[in-house]
Amino acid sequence: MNWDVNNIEDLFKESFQDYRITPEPSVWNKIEKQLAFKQFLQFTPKHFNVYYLSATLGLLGILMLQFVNFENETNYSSLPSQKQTITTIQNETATAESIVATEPIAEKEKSKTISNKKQDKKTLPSFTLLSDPNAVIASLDIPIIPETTSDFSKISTSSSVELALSQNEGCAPLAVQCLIKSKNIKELVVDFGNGVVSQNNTTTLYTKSGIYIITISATDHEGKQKTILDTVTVFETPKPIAIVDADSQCTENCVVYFYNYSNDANKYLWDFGDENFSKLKDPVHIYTQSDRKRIKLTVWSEKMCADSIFIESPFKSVAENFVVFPTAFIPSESGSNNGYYTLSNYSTDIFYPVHKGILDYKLEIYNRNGLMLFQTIDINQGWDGYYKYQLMSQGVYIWKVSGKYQNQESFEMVGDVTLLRK
Amino acid sequence: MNTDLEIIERCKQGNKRAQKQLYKQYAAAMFAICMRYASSKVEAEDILQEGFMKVFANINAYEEKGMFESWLKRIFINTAITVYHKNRKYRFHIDIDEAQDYLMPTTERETNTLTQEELLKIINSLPDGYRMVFNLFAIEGLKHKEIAELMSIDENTSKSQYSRARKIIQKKIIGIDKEMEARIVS
Repeated sequence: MNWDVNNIEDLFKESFQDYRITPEPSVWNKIEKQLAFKQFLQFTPKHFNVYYLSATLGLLGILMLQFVNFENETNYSSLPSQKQTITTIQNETATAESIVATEPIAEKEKSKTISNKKQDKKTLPSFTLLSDPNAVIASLDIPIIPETTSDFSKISTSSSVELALSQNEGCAPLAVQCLIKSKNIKELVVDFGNGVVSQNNTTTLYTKSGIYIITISATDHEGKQKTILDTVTVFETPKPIAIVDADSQCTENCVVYFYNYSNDANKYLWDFGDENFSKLKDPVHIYTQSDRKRIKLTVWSEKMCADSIFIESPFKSVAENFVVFPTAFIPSESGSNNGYYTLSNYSTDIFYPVHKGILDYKLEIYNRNGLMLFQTIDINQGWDGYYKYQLMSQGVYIWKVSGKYQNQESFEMVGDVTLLRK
Repeated sequence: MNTDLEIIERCKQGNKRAQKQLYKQYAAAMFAICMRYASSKVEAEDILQEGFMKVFANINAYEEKGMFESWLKRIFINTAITVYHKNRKYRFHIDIDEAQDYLMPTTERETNTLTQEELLKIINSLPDGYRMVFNLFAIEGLKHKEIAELMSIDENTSKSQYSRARKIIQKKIIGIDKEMEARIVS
């Protein structure tokens, strides 16, 4: 034979040394797209391209528009000074008649600006309704025709969409709500930029870090389309990972080493569970007593995103290991739930044991005909009462468990459990 | 001919052509690694994509000291572990049908040596957690302590998962073996 069953390491190592599988061409296309997008978001003069040009032009346009508005708003206060300049010019020309003549012109202009202002008030939406000072507002108006001025006999409806986000940045996972104010809009589609596109949902959850572009596409009653964009920046949340090293036999003044393998973090806080704390990355702590402790590690990233974990006490308690099964359970009627459970919430819809010190574990469930309905090697998974997505009928089922405790002692047990239906 | 170093240099400047060239040169080797770690082809493609994005984003950090390919490899293995952690809720979940399948030997065989495809198939048939540990220990040659840190699991878990993975693989290989002998006799 060409291989040795007892040396599979070499067999696999050699075989895979120069192994190559050509990926589908579509993968590169995706990468290329993603690269282009990334480059687009990273501003460097080298990559000053057509997008930036248009973005800059757009920005300039908005600024100009605002400047014009500002002018209109301030016309009242600036009128006297305007008059002054006119007068000084007149003074230079030094003709008495022209001074008199300019007065009515100034008056006319004044009334013009007032009427302008009236129109502006009608057409320009005000943003004061939004109370959140952090909310950034993007607004686009579909061409507006003033509604009641005498110059226009036609009455037309104006439509508008405004978008404000509940937050523009935050730590992953980040829930963002779009506050949309629309007028005379027939249809709204929100693309959250994370693959979720919705017509009626305004809230989404960003689970991964990154920059997302939210696009609102609106269609008004006349079929005109408008889009509003806004961005959300989601920061990476650090992941606390820690290993505790201690002599488990120790009873007094035990030295415990804490190792920190947290990702994306640069600030740490250890709560040793005995009212002592440390900000060091890998602290060493001496416990005066070796009873059970609740150790907590909290980590922060540069952007002050935080996460924490609880770590099991480094001291093993003396009590012996056990695994005990219940005699009955009532499965959930609402479908298979994979059987994952947490020991702390005592639910009765999953069949699982109370246990301690399990190293190896295997659970099998049989029906009365000896058909195996379920098997697992994960102590965290129990039986949810389903077989091939079908809820089993009420009755007695057989369980068989085998495995090893942490002290290397093995166990094997058989018993029965009654499945009850609600 | 462009050497690796030239391509890398141009990738550092963000040259698109160089990026494509780098991808062409290494995609197949890296995809083979991804296939070993992933639970499906789709997942392998995700790892490949994510990995190359990381490579292009961090290529400036590569100093021409170590082998470029091993630098690449490390990125893809780390990416595979990240992806595994994202889906780790189902770490030990094995479908009943699948569970029986992995205890039974594979039946198709033609030559008397195990091909790379067959070995890959065996690896892919392992439960998720076992597959990660087996890859890292047997093929990448990491120590259990290092694996424990990378995967944020207990060192003993790494050991026990490895020994179970090993048993499953041995059973499969013996299964293929017996099948072959039977064929030679008849």
